[in-house]
Amino acid sequence: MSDKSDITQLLLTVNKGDQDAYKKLFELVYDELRRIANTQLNYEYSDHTFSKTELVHEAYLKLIDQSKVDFNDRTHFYAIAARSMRQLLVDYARKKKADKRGGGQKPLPLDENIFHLRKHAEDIIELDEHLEQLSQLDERLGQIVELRFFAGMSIDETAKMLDLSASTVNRDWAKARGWLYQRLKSEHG
Amino acid sequence: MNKERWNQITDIVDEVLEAEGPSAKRKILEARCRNDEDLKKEVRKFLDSIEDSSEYWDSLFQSNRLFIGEITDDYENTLHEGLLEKAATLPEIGDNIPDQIDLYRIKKRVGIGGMGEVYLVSRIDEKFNQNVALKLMRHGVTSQDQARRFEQERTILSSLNHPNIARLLDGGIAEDGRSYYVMEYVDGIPITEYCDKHGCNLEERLNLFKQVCKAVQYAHSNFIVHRDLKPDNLLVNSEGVVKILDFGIAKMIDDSLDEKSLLQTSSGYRMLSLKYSAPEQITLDPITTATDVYSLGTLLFELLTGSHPFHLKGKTLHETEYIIRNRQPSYPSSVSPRWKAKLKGDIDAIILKALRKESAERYDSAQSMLDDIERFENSLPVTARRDSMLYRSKKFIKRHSLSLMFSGFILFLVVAFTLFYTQRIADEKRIAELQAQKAEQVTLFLMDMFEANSPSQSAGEIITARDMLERGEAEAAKLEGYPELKAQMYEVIGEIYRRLGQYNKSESLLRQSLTIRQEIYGNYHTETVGTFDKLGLLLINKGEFFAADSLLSLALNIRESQLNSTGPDMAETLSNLAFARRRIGDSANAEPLYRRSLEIREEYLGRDHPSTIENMSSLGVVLHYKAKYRETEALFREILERRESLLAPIHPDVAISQNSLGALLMNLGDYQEADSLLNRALTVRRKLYGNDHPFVALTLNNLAISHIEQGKLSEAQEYVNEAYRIRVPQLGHDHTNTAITKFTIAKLMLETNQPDSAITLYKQAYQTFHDNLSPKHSLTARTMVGIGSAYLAKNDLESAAPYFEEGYKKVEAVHTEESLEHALASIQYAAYLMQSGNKEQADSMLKTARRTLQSFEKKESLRQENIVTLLNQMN
Repeated sequence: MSDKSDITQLLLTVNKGDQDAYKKLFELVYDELRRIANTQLNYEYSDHTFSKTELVHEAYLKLIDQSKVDFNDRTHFYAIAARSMRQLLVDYARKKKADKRGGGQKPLPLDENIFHLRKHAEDIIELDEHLEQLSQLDERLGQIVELRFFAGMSIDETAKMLDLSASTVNRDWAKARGWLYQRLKSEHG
Repeated sequence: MNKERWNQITDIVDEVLEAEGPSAKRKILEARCRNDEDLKKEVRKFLDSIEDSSEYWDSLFQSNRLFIGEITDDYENTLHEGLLEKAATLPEIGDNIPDQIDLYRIKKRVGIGGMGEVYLVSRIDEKFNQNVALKLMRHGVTSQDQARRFEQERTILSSLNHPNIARLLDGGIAEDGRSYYVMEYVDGIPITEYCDKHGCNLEERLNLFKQVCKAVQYAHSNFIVHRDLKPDNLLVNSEGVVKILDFGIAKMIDDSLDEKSLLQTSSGYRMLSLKYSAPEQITLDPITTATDVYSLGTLLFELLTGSHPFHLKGKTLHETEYIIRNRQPSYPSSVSPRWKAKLKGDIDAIILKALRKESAERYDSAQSMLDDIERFENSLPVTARRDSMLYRSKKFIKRHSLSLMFSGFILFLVVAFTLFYTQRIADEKRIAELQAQKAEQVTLFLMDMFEANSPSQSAGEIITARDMLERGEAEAAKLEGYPELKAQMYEVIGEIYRRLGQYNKSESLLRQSLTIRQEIYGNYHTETVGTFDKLGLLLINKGEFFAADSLLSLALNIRESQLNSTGPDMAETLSNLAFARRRIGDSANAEPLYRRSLEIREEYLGRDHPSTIENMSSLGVVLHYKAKYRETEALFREILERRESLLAPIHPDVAISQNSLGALLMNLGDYQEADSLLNRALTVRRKLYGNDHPFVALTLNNLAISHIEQGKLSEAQEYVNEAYRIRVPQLGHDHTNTAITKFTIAKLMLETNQPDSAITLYKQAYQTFHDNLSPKHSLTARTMVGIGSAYLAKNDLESAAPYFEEGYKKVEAVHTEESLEHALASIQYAAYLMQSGNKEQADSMLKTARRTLQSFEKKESLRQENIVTLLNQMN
């Protein structure tokens, strides 16, 4: 069903508050992000070509017929994409954690980098949990973290997306950073 | 936290964040939290976490990038088939070799690479049938524009004319649209393979490398960068001439590619090439001649060590990129199986300079790298060594800017110290120094102040200084978030405690400092190694000589192999290690170390510097131990003279000199001058340190020995009792110095006819020496002989026998016949041999001992009288 116009229609329905449509769209975006991530393999220089922002933009260009949507719809789409990116990362982090528990069927080279990334997997999972709590206290802060951290958007992009001033986003981002840091730190003793 | 509280707090946080300047921020905080201390605390905490969080988030972002990279790698397996499919869409590399490409007749295929195929060809219209190589690229040229750029580049490259560069002869577009180029055919093997095959030595390898440098320099001066220097492109022919292939080709190809075909370059090819890529090639920063310099560094590394600067085997694409961009390469000397010593220092510095991550920090040209190698070959100073110092200090300053910012706290501490200090002496110059803002200067200043302070203070006033130290320590503990500064403070205070003789307190602080520094800098860093030095010295003071030895050996090793240390820091490590070795009883090793550090100090600090003189003094102690008595005496007298003329009469170093010379003269039988010197040392030390300091105990112990030797037993008793009273509570029963006091008391017991007590004490001392020093140490051996003597005094020959036999053998092993220790053991052993009927051996042993004593004693001592008595008894 993933025809461009269908998906665009789905986005428009989501904006009218349809929860089922939201779920469907979320799944579609998630798959698309994974798919784009896969093709990134063929880029030689990942740091250049493979940023999260571009991923999200690319998913947008691929899935949505831009002539049919307005700015508001676009914002919605990006919010969903950011959420999907978050899910993608958390899923992978869980998988990685489970792999480790499973006793390592696949021998990993002993490298501090890899050790480091395992730790990062745990960080991501914890961050995800605390982010949930933060969103309950202040939804906007939660959204900013999703856009900034998970979708890799800059302060300016985030500000445009949420129709806020850059200084407000800056402040909110600072608060979110500080609060999450406090939480993550207290957990580690 | 509920929503209401959250809103209350974040409202204030917002306002504070919006305010500009610390005072405005503080005002808002005060105004908004007026009487609510809890609220203020929470807001503060929130603000602090924001402040503290940046670094954490930076690293989170960074890791996340890697993490995403890994996700794509993770999908690699599932996608593998898909990739193969894609590869198939590229022009086929099949078995069918074309007969002809443009005007070139194909003879055979000589290679297949990721980029395409290489053929041995000759020109159809050429009479001589000369062989040349043709590279047919995989990708096609699809637009006029690309074809034009390709042609342009080709023309430029054809102009390169150098004996070490394979000449580009022609190029064009084949019928199927693929580009090709033709170059001089080189019948050779990759440079690394060539070296291994011919077992080239270091000189030969460097000569090959120099050929490469010259060719690269030639191309660079024509504004052409190779971009892809790797062994496969550096062939050596049968005459040993290097030929560089594909000069500038990488650029030509990249320029002529469009984005789509760039995408299609198979990842396999890139992986190979990535191995020799410079960081800027990964980050897509501008490629310059420095990029080739980096590759030259990688090449030289590989030529001289046989391995690549990084372990890239089995790493994924993303890991490889990460490593090249971030990881520091190993020191070539540390991985070279053959030329460790030759590479250490200069070559290490040259290669690492070429491999710097920042291109501006590398050699600015292949020529300057070549120059440095030639300097190395001619044993001239290499520029990379000097630069490496500069480079490190630049980084050091960058890292320390934070602690410099935070000098406010230090200032507080200095003011506290100064108040204390200025009450005592008004010294304008030192007060001026107070203005010093740099933390490092402050540290030095604190140390200076303490040095100047403690000697002239009585014990009561030192307690005030200790109060200050405790306050300083408490303040340092609050330096959360400023670990560098905290480590520095702990080190300073720990060092002061060490000087005060409070070793446990000192150790705990130094260890905390070390832990912090290891966390920040790792082990291979000047700061960390500096703490190794301080801790090593402390461990020696604590009597843990082997622990000190291994720590200081590590420090020396790091300084030599990683930091290329020179100057006073190096001397510090050398002399500390020598001190540890000396205390272990390894004078053979201690002497050259002391001589090395002395040489450095004389050069850098001058002959009259306190450290230089202290070093001379330590060397003297070793010479003393090695029975070079005349040399030692001359040295000690010179030191004392110099110190007395340079320093105040009441100075720690003067006391050290008096003590050392006194102990030597005592051994040489000059008791009168010995006692006078030891007493002066004792007076100075009591004034400087109070009555309970380990140094006071040391001099007391020497005085006790001197008095035993003179037969003044009741005075000896007083001295040794006081030494014991100080040492046991300060050092504990198991400290080596406590055991020395026990050894002395045992000797006294023996002289006063209490052999049972002597045996008990000797045995305790024996255990300590055996455990702390070694079973072979002079003190262990001499204690065994002592136990033998005590059994002999009880007429228990049977028990005495094994102690004498083993103990004497060990004394002989560490001391020459010309030494006092040997002579004294001989006298003791001879007494046993006499009793057990072995008079002949006893006689010759006693005569040798007498000759030894006569050789250095100025007056006939009791010891010589003893020998005479024993000899008379036998006859």
